[in-house]
Amino acid sequence: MKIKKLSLTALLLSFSLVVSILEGFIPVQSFIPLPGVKLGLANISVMAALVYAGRASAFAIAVLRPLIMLLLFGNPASFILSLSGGLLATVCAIITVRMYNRVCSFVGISALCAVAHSIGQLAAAGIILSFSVLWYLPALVIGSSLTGALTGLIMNYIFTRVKL
Amino acid sequence: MHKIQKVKRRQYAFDFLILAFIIVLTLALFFLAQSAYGRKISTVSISLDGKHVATLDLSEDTVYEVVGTDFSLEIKEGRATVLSTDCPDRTCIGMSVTEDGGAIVCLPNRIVVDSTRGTADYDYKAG
Repeated sequence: MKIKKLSLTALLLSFSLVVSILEGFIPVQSFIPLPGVKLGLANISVMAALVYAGRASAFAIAVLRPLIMLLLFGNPASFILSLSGGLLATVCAIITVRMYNRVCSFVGISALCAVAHSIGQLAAAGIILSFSVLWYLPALVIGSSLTGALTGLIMNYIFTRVKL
Repeated sequence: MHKIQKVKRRQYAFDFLILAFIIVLTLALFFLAQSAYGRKISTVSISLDGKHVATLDLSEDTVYEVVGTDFSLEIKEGRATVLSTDCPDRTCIGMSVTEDGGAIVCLPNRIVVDSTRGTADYDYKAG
């Protein structure tokens, strides 16, 4: 049982890494003209881990993915933002995942987690630099809720078809 | 671990509601903040690594370059726009601060271009 969880977590972690790197090539900026808006597909892995392998697994991915990205690409700014956003998003996921099929589907859940991610990022950036980053808040929250909804659609599709 | 079943059709309505709620709430907060603090911007202050470097007046057209980096800011017609940066992200090129407000942040360079309202100084610079 434990080995199953461990290998599943490892698989999901590698998936999230590959997907993060690939999504960096998609110019989201041409659709949503905001700095730092990404598709956030890596969150699919975190949610999958939460659903199929448990909370520890989800947190492991949320922490290890930015760490490995830091080792691979050496971008400390990106690391801190990714980590802060990812942790808050994972906490949000744990809280909201119970809403599935009781209130909404993963579209709403993912949108909320994306917003949590953005808030976590802004909080970290604000503490490090200056709270004038709050200017970015409205646009960032709206942008990320949309990409979160998109990611949620993907989650709906995957999670209803994959039994583990 | 949760048992995953097909999405019930009704849930999509709530998805939309959640999205709409997020967007409406954000906009509402934004306009609320604007009306509370909405005095016109007259100067921008630039800080590097948390230390204040310069204060520029938005009514004077200039080009300001932060010493030691490639980061330059152009002030023209009441807005401050980023001309060039040397950071790998390059997300800040083209971002501007207008008289309505806004801020520009370059995380790798640790540069913050803040807008100061009227005579009161709402500079929330940390560290």
